[in-house]
Amino acid sequence: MRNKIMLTLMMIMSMLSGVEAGTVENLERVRAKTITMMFDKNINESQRAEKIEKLKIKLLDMEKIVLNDSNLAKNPTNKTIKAFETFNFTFLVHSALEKDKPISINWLEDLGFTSDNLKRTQAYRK
Amino acid sequence: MKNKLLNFALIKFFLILGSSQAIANLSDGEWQPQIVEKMYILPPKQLDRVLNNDFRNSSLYLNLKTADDKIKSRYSKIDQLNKSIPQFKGDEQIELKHQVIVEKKEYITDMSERLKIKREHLLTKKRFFEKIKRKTLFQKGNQNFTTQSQFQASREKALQRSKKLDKKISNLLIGNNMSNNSKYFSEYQKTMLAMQKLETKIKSHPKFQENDLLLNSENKLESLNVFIDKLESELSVLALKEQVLTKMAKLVSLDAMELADSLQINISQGNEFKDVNDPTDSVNLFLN
Repeated sequence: MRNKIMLTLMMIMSMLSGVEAGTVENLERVRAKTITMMFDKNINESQRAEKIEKLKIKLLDMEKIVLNDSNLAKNPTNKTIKAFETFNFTFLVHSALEKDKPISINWLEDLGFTSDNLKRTQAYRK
Repeated sequence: MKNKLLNFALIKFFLILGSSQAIANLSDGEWQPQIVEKMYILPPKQLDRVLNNDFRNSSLYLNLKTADDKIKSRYSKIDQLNKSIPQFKGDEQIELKHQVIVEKKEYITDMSERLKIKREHLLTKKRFFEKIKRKTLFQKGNQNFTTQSQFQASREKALQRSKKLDKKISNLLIGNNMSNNSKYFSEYQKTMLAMQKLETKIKSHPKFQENDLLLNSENKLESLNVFIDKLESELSVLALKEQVLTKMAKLVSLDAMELADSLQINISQGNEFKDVNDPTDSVNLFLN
């Protein structure tokens, strides 16, 4: 009898609990945090470098988890498909390590903001 | 005399039945492969072995075995009777010849039943392999065209890229004395190392080198085709054997006819029949 009650309670609890976040969503959260940190005006350079370094390790773990998550292949969402198609933007640490560049520079370069491009830009009034 | 007439009647009876029973419709038992779908990934050679084991548990196999035993005993009986025919004369010899014809007819019936069971066995096996072939083709088609497979391809690519960086990441973590901070990566590295060792062992395994069918769908399809071709050729051989059986039935019928005719001659010789309605047969009456 007690077992039955416990089982029913567990079932109700599982129904009430929120949807569990996927590995891709977790990665996205940390990734967004890292990018925010890159442009945070309220901290100085050394603080930024320290915080990004810490986030880098966390991000690395999250990236590895997503890359090795075999459950994703079963029924991938559009978000997941897109995430894997744009490797350089999704897996920031991996992409940066591949090119031996800091995360922020690598990310900006992938977006098209290279030093050369920026030097060549001209400010003019329309 | 009475005995002879009875034999004659029996021979005529079997003569009528003889050839038709060679293609008689008998209950052959059943075999429906009870193989779980998970086993479909096995290479065809192993699958064939599993299928044969499954067949051994069916009523069809039981009937095949019974037919085999019957055929063996009939064969030895016919052989014995054939050997003993020259040792007898007269009615006894006719009786033995009659027995041989009856046994031959039964032999043909049993053999026909056996061929029918064998055909059913081969057809079921062929249908099974064709089903797996269809599934493999379907999976292959899916692999080529679905969005899921596109995702699979990009995932594979991403994994390869990340694996190439493992050493770099490891050096980075050790160099910066941060290996304790990354719990997942250190566990991941340990697992990968263990998996690499296992994979090396698997690849060097003689059975793996013998067939990489588990991984290669193209090879599996080819192998399945070989199996289906083999089964088709076995079925063609069965058709040839059925032709032989028809010829055998024809020969038994001719033997029976010959025996019936010889008996009829004997009967008419012993019983010279006079037709009193014919004036030429009644001439003797007027000559006395």
